[in-house]
Amino acid sequence: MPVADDVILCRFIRPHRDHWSVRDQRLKAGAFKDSRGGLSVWDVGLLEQHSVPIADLLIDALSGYGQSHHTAGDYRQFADDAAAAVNHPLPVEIERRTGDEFVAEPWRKWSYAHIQVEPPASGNAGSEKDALSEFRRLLALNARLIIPPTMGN
Amino acid sequence: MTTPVSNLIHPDQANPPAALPPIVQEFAAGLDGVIPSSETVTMASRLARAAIANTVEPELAVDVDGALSFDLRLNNGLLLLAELDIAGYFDASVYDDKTSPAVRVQRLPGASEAQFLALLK
Repeated sequence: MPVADDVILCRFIRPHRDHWSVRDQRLKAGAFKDSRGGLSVWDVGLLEQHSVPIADLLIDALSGYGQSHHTAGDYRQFADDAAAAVNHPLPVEIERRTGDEFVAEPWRKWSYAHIQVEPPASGNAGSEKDALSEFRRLLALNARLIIPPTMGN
Repeated sequence: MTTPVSNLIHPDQANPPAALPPIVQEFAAGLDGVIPSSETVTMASRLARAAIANTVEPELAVDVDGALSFDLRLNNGLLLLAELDIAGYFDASVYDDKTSPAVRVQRLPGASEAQFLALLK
């Protein structure tokens, strides 16, 4: 079932220079790359319905991570904008992915709120890659809410 | 007349990996056994040195996909975001991030090194 446009999605921000600009205290486009292809995000509202603050998920390997919030509609809109900018389609699927293959321990108890945003895996050189780059940059520069990660000294 | 041995050294060989900026060394190490070509590493080194020399607090990083990303604040206040991927593909865009939403001012798909350097001036 498609995720509605008004659902707020949280993408966690790694406390590292590939995700976070220390100079500008700003999100970087690299935060919207994922080694597994699709972007792993969380349904903030659904967690709240279960009385779970999103920050509760910042445990174990996610300790010190920050948050960026966009709606599902933002993801779709920025994909459309990026596609228009480079004149190349950028299909983006936003689907609930709750299986163990998508959510690792110790986060499985919250897997009901896990969502995957799936743009094309990496993009070939050329227009598709350009569209993906533009998509990530628009997301990075236009988040609705950002909670900075805890960067080391 | 014989050619001095020193003249036979290719320019790339005159800059061994140890002389590369640390972030370029990280990029040159590649990802999952895939490494960028020597030409790509040399280009990365030139781009990185130019960014470091011409912008304040340049932020360069190696992303999770092995690409070298550039996050640069230009002298005119605009933001230059660029990326050199592990296969050598380079793209860059300029944004005004003081507006809401941020707007793209210039896009350089398949950007050339010369275009990038011109933006830094």
